[in-house]
Amino acid sequence: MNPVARRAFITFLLAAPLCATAQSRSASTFDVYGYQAYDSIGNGSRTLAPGMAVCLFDPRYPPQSPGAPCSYNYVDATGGTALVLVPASGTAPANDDGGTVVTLAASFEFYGVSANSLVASSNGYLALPADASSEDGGDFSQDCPLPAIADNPMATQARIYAYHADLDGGPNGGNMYENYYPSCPRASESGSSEACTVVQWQNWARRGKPGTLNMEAVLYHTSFEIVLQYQTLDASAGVGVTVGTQSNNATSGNAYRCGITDRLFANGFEP
Amino acid sequence: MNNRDNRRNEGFRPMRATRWLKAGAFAALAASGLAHAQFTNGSFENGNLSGWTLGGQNHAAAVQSSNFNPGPVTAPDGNWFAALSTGPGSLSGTTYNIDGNGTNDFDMTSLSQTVSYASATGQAMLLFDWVFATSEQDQPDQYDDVFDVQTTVGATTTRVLTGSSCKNNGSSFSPYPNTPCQPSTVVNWTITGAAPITNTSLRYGVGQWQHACVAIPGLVAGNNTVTVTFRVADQSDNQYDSALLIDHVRIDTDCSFGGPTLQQITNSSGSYCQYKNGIVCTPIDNGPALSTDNTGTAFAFASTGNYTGDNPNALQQVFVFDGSYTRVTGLTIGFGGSVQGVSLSGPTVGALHGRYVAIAASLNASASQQIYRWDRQTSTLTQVTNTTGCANKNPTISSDGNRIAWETTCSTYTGQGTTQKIVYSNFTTSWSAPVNFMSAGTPAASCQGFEPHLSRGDTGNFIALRSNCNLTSAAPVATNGDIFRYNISGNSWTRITTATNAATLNLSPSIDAATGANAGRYLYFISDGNYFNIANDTAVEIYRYDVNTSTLKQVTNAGSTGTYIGVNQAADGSGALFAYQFINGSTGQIEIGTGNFNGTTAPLKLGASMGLSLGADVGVDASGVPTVVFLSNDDLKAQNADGNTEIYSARTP
Repeated sequence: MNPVARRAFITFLLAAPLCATAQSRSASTFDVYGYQAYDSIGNGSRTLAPGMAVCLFDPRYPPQSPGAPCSYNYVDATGGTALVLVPASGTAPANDDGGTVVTLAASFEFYGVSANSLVASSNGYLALPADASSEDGGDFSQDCPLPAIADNPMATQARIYAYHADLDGGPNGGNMYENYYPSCPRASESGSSEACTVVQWQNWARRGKPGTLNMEAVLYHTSFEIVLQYQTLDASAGVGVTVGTQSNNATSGNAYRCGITDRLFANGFEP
Repeated sequence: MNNRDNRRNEGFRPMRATRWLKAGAFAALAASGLAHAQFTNGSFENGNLSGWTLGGQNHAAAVQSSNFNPGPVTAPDGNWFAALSTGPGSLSGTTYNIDGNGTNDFDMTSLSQTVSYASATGQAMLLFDWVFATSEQDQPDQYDDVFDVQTTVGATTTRVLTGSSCKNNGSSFSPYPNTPCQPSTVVNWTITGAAPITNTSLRYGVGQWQHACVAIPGLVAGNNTVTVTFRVADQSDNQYDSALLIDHVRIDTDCSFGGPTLQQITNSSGSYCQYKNGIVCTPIDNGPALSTDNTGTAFAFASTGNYTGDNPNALQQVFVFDGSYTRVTGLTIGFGGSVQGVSLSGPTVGALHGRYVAIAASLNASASQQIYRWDRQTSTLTQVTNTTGCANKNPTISSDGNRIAWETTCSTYTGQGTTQKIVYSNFTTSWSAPVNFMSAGTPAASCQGFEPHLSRGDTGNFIALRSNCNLTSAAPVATNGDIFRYNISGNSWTRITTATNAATLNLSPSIDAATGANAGRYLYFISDGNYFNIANDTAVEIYRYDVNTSTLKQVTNAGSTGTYIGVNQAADGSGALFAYQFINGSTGQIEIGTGNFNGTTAPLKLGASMGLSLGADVGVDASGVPTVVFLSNDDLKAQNADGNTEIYSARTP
């Protein structure tokens, strides 16, 4: 190989991984079950930003075009049902630590288990299959890594973590909504038109952080794809929150993003 | 039997050292590469006392078995050992006061040596083997010959071990505790060919060697100079001889007799804290539920630890350690839930040391306590009970995993309100309705059952338990109940104890893992019932009942030296091996170890000594070595500075 060709080849080798990273989806690690997450930015940083989407796939229902970015197309569900949260055990108000049962208009399959309802939590996650007696929505502490056995008093382990942290609807006068679309305004990555249910956190907040959090989880009822979309973020921009999926009994979990602020101390007290 | 043979074997009044850890000092030592100096001629294999300094009457010598007539006396290490004698006969009128009781001691001899010891942690143990052969065993109380062991570090001299003559009548004139008795028959041995102690008279021969492992107080992390002194003296007279025999004197970091035995298996640390309107912290801990398999190498346990990476929120879960950790994923326990008890089936199935785990747990704060079975091979959880408003606890599982017995306060199963009974259930394709086999016991509405243990060599045909029910011909007098054995296939009861005092405590029944005609034959338990009137005391001792011969034997005789708090029979099928937990009355320390009862004597092997133990179980490994697995929050291996409850394993070869 002459020097020019060798130099070109080396340049190609150096550039190739960068190009590949820049052009392919930013897939997170597959979990034991096989759930996969990738986003609409594709830079591999796994950071959240306004106008960003994260797609979550059951391996049995892969996208039509593997490698294509997860598209962002925010669905305004405020015209749907406003959710009335029920306080979890403790003293916090319902929009701080609470949840409510959302009865699904169509079934949704998660980690191979079909659900007809879920519990939407004020703290940025959906638990399923669940009812009010098995999940109170009060888990305010983010978890990392996944799987992580949830630690609220009434906890279902099978969860979609949209933006799990100590969230609060109070500071910005927020509401949560749910809406079912027989034909989802945001097309799924399956390539087929299908129904979806959208759970939306509107004018929500992260406790202790300024800014408004507007986000939603889109659940598709045929491909069982999950899309998390972030319209606006609080000032933390998702640092330390948990985003991902976890199976029942916490046997499998895939964190697109996670972090913890709870701390471990040898003596149980802050240093 | 001669119950005097069975007196406790270890740890007479060891003094506890202050334990502390300096990580910096450890690092410095590691960097400097300092070596631990050891005793010169510590096992006396030079055939003399070179390296050692004599004092007092200087009556000591290196001896071997041939120096005992008729003998033999087998050296614990090598062929030689040392003998410090108060004889032969009267040596001097010089008086001493070794034990501080004001009574004259005569013919004192000491043996000492000073060594350098570099300690990484500031703590170390003095280990040696000893036996106190005394001719005073049947003599009047005041003739209570004594010995002690002292360590001197800097200006601090501490008695770390003391002892005095065993007395057939159980008395101890000296404040030093009695040593284990020798057989009660006078045999009139003598020491020969070992000047200057030739013709020392040992009227009761030489008893069983004991292991000693005592902390050396006053050590610092770094270089230390330690002087160890052994002393022996003849109390109240200078006629009847006694001799202290010692061997294998060394310093080590822990009590590992005959090999590396003590291990800290788990290593949890810290607490998990959450902040919201205050701070809530959950300690990362292990236990209290713990159960080992037949080999003592695997165990199921409860823990808030994050051994499998999925428990960062420190919720109590059931884990199995079998070379590596797995969580019982079929039973995810939420906030406020807890694990009350576990029982790991004994046999090895394929690569699994114990295929099945019986679990008593509540899934969250508001859930009732239920019994579950986890099949490790198929990762299948089955729920045995389904009750509300009552408790199901202390499960015990058969070797094949298809029978579980447990305590229940559920009227659904007993028909007796919340009165606690023991029931069992069988698994075929599902779990049978629980069988209240105690239903014939009276008074049914108030009498109770406790501490069930299924036999393990068969398919759990026998259940050992404690009950205050009238299950045979007469109601137990003891309020706490008597020990019974129930034969499931024969639907018959065997009464193991018949205490005559209402205050008698019979506790901790365990049954064997034998097969065939020996299945369910041996039951161990502890009791303060003075069934044999030994020393006429009320010490809690270990007993063994042989159902085939209807024979009850007292296995230990701690007397005033302490009290037993638990016994577990090993699942080797022999009916001989067991683990014990003992509170040393002199030190307040809990001692855990194993014993091997041959029907007459039960040599005990100390696994570890600690301030607090939270339960123990025992197995026998592939080499036939009993291994005790236990919970403690002591820092036994300099790996648990934070005092979390950890699981330790001690092989006792």
